[in-house]
Amino acid sequence: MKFKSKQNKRTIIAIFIAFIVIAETAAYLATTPRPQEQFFQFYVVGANRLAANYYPQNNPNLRISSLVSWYVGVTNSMGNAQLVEIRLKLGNETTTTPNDTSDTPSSAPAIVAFDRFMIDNETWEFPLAWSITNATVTGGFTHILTTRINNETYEVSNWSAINGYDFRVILELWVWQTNTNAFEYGWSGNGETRTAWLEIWFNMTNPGIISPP
Amino acid sequence: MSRISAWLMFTSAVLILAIMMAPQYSQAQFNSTLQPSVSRAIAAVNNAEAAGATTNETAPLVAMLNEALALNSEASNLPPNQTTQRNALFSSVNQILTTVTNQANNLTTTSTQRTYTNKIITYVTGVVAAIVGTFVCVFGVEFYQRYRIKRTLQMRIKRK
Repeated sequence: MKFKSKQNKRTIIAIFIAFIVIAETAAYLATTPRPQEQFFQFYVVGANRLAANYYPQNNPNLRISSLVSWYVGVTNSMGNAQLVEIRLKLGNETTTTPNDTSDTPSSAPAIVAFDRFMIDNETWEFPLAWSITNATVTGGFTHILTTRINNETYEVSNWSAINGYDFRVILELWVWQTNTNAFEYGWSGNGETRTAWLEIWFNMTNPGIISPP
Repeated sequence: MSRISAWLMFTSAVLILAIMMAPQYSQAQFNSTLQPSVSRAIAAVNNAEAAGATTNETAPLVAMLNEALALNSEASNLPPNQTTQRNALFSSVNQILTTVTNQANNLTTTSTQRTYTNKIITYVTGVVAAIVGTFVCVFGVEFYQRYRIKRTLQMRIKRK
């Protein structure tokens, strides 16, 4: 091809520049990772993996040895691998719940914790089968003494409720922080701290034991 | 003096009671010597991911970390008198964490190189595509113009 005039040369250079701008913009977009929202999903579902029928016969008034089957799940959408911990806490009507404004966990002591390293976009779901194995009723209070969680028995203290009403199970999501070498409640992503927690209430008005005189 | 000792005794008694009253806290927490290794391992895996390692590449490392977690849990649940076995398990956990950190660092190096190469290839492909596009455009216009001229010159005048 012969360039017949300066005008032609200029046209060709202009076309080339236009093409190179388009192609290199496309290359930049293809090679630059897009910023993504960093978050965890945290859920608890019933025995049929539905957000229903959390208790046997759908009755939240439990008795001794009533087996409650749930599935607890976490999805890691942080964009990288994370070490997460789910802490199970037991509370009653007066227990302070986690505070979403100050990002503080519940003051109730954790009974058991479940840990796992998760890759990005992984969903970790595990069965949580629990029951109350020992309780007493004194002075109008139902005191839960032992609980069985995933075939392990745990002794609990200071877990009581007036007439057995308004017990609750609190689940909190804790994430390992590499700068502090410890689990911390919630996570930091996109410049803000976020937390995730769940609670499910139940009663034990008639544990199935004889109250002492 | 006796007041202070009484106060100390009272405080100690309260503390002991509080510890005894505390519920069984079943958390397989990493012990303090392992905690920095855990953070190093996670940071190394995160660096590899940031360097461009895919989920398929980091999944085996995360699986090893979960293996370490299981061993740590096993060690934590041993009775207090089985110190030798516990220490052996903690040693295995530490070894796994070190292996993961080393492998993640290697993965970071290879991922960085691969990402860099891919970037260069993509940008060079852009330049090549621009050159090809320019030639196609210029030749295309020229060929079209020649075709139109040829068609015009091939015209014949017919009497009606």
